[in-house]
Amino acid sequence: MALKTEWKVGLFIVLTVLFILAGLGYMAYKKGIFQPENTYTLSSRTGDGLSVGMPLYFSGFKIGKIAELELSDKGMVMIKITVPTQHAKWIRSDSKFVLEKPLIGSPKFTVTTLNLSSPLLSPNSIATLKEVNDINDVIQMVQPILDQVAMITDNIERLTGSLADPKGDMNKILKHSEELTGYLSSKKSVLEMALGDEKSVQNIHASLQNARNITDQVGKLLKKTDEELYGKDGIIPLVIKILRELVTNLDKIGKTLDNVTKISSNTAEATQDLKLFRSEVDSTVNSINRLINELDKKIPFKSEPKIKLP
Amino acid sequence: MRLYSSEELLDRELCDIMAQEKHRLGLVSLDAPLISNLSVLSNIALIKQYHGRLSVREAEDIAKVRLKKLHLEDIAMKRNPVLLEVQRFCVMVLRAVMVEDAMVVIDRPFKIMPDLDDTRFIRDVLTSVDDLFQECHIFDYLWNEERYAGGMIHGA
Amino acid sequence: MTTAIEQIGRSGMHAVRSFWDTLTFAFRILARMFDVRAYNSAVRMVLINQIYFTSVQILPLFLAVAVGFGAIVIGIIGQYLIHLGLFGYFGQLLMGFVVTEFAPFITVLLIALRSSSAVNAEIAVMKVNKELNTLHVFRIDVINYLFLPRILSGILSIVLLSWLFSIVVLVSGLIFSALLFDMSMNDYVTALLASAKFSDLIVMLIKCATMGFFIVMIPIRYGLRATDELTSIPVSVLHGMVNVFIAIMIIEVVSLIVVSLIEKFI
Repeated sequence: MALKTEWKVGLFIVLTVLFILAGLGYMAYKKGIFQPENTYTLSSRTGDGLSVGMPLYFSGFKIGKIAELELSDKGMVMIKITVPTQHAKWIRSDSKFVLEKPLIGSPKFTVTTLNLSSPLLSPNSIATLKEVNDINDVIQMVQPILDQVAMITDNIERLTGSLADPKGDMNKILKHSEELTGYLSSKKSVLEMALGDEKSVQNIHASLQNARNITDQVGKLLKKTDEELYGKDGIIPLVIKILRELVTNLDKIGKTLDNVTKISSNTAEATQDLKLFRSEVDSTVNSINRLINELDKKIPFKSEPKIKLP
Repeated sequence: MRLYSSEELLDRELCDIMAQEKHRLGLVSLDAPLISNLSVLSNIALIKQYHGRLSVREAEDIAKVRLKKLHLEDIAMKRNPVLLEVQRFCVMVLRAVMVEDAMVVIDRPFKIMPDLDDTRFIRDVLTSVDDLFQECHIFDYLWNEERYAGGMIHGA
Repeated sequence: MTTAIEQIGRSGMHAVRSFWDTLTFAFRILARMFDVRAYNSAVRMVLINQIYFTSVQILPLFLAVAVGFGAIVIGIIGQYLIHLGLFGYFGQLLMGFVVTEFAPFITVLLIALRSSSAVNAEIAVMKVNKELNTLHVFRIDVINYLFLPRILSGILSIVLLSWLFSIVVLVSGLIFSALLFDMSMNDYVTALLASAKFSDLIVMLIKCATMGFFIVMIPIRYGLRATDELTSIPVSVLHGMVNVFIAIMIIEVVSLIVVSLIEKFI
């Protein structure tokens, strides 16, 4: 009985242990634990986004990992990567090591080799790690646009100032309108006055239409971009806000000019003031147009927004 | 043979001797029953396995020889609950004499074997294994004195 | 009011004392576990018998449960993941949930139901029958002879059976994934290996060993609390088993905290 029990227990222990060891061995083999590895050293200005155990990808395949991170005497981050010898062929002397920091998601450590006939990278040499940072790139691209927006704001401020200024153009026009009322009560022809500046009024209307179109374009453009850049507190909504304010202001100016023109088209002095004013409006509209073009050029086109899962 | 007039007295004396001779004590008592999840053979062999550090086989071989001495080979694989009272007593004695230089102490044998009229059976059993122990003491009540009328051995 | 507060205080003190006694007892047994002199052929014999009763006898039932549960759990998990469009996490769920959590838990549950209750009753019966006194009279250390082999058997059985359960579940998972989700063997193995971490397996090993230790030690302790009366046996088994389940829950929670701390700091 005792022997039989001992035999059964022994068989159970031996078989189970063998099963476990076989399973662990298979796992270790498949994970490449028994494979010899090559170690390479890279240097980087910063260790941001790097961590021990981080995988190294080549053409989307994991071929190695970061084994060690240390700071050199010169303050550079020395990154030791281990690559199984079977994957060492993908790492050449002209391979580029890149740490991609996407706008959304975790950083990705990749190596690209354009020329596979180049000599293999020596484990003694120290390659440089390049960092591609999407957030910084976007900020860099957006900066000139922000400068332009500031310029436009100045322009609008100046226009508003001009409207409010008692000695400004608007007040001059109103003064001229008063004079014109005086003329109307005199013997001047209404028809002549109307013919005098009708073209100017049409031009102003065209400019306003143009500004609306531009605003619509900006709106469409905004839909193409990611939430983070174009969210509630983003940059583009700010631009839109300013443009909308501008259009509203221009609209008001247009209406005022329209009324004034109707009654003062034959007044030479008034006509001159209106032309001057219209040219200012046109110049502002042109600025907006330039900005829209700039935006179109600099913002990459994206299809429908999609959340990528790991 | 030690006879006492009261249970209290007997228990006190028994405790004293157990404390004094604990290293060579081979107790035969209902207060030290056979281990119920072990066979008779294992119960006897256990002492040599544990204190003599013998292997299972060596200890069981010794136990088998001793069971043979009392003609009890056929109950070797039986367990405590199925044993007869006399068989149980014999196995307890065999277990007690497994202790090195044993001092066998039999505590109230007629409590273990209530159907026994006298000490002849006890004497026969002890005589069969008298080469295996140094001393033997029987503790019982004074009112059982008549049962011991045939006389008892006092150690080997 | 005062009586109620006194009662709460008494219960609290009793719980703390009981917890402390359990820990002290555990340390005594642990210390004995590493003492070579504690082992002899008698102890080895008990150990072998205990492994036989705890692991070998239960094996057919255990393997059937592993295959059955494996198929059900893998089927349900797979269906849900497909429904949620997260089938990419299949490997992670198998390794992180089935292997490291589910397998030890089911194993411990089965062993606790079968062997812990048996050990508790066995020790209580020995106490009532004065068999523990026999061991004492013949200078046989109860810790060495009775407790140590049972606890070692508990540790060994839980560790080996948990791993066996995991292997059986994963193999049955392979078959059922092919049948239910048209998953090739290569895809299945790749998904598993991508999520397999040696650190998780080490944590699982330690967790199984700890559970194995406590699910036998606690019933022993409660078995020893039995009095000379037969009626004390079921009471001691009842208390022992309740405390075994509390211990399982505590170990599960502690292991989860340890794993999260490891992931945070290492």
